[in-house]
Amino acid sequence: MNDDDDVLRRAREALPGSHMGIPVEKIMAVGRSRRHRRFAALSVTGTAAAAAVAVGVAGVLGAGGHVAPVTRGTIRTAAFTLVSNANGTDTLTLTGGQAFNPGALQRALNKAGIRALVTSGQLCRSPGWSATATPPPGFLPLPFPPNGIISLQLPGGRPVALTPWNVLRLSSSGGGRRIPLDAVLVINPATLPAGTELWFGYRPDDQALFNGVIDQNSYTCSPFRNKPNPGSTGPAGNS
Amino acid sequence: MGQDQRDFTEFYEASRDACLNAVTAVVGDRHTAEDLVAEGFARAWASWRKVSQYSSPAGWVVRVALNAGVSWWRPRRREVPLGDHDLATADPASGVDAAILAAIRRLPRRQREVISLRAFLDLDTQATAEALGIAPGTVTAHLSRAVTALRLEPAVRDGPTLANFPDNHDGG
Repeated sequence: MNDDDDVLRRAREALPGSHMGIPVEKIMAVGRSRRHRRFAALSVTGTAAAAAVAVGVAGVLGAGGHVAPVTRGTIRTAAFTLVSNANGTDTLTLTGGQAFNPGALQRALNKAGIRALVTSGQLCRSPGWSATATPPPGFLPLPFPPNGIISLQLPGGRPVALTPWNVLRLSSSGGGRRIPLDAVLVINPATLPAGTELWFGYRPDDQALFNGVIDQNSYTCSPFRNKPNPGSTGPAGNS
Repeated sequence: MGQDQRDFTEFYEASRDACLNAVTAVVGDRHTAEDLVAEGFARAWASWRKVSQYSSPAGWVVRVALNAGVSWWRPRRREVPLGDHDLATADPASGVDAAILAAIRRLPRRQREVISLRAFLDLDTQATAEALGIAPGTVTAHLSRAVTALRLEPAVRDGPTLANFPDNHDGG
């Protein structure tokens, strides 16, 4: 072993055990926005006219994470439809009976200019964030309801008070308070506080899509309970 | 999840800690290093089809991290105490050798980078040269100077681990 190896080994041993704690989903979400902005800049300098047109993008979100510039329009997949409204809000509707693809929703939200993290089987929350001083056991310690950021509407526009257990579902099975399958989420991204992002967590067991707001750089994710209890009212994760 | 996502996730899981160590050794602050490495990985994902073809994607991440301004992650970071990673006040039980890290940080920047890539990513001269965008001969020169300088540091020269290593017994 030579001098170089000795010194390199000492350097390596001087810093054991550090762990990079940022989840890969977060890294990839930011990476998509990087690619997104780069693509947008190219579009502005190269094909401004094309970039300025808001178009429907059904079918554009393909495999491999290719992301086009922010598009105010309609993104439609088998499992969901995301519509950008004229007033700056976006409406998310799930389609019952379809396989849910978290990555597709993540790309669609980002494409619409909405900061969001979408997970499957994982409950994400920021430490210490709670709507009440002492949330009931098993309830999300998140700022619920995220008034002004997300609202839930029944068909015809009738609002429903958002609570941690009012979640969108792709199936009528499972526990929890039943919300009609055609209920929609209305998202107002302009009201999302700086440094935060929406979190959507899909629980495959009952095909439920939970939502919340998290600190972009301080949150943890843990698995949902494997089986929701009949009549369960919360999306508690395993802690 | 597409193949690209699977590949990137595997790459991230396998190399994130080594990249964090490499950047921490250069910048000296674990929080800043994590922000920088996160930025490096995010940019890697943004150009994954190109980066994945490089001989050392991890080396590319570290290079980008070291060249990146902490412009996106840092302002949004909620300050969370992570005492076990504070190098300046490292708990001896953590195993962090603050004296050696301080010695590395006293090196000129390029020498620090070469030491970091060689030590924590285990890159050879050619891969280090590609990661830093310099000639292999320059890597060799920087490494030689860095090793010479570190050899003069008491933390390295008199360290028990080095003294006990078989190749360093002087018979006296």
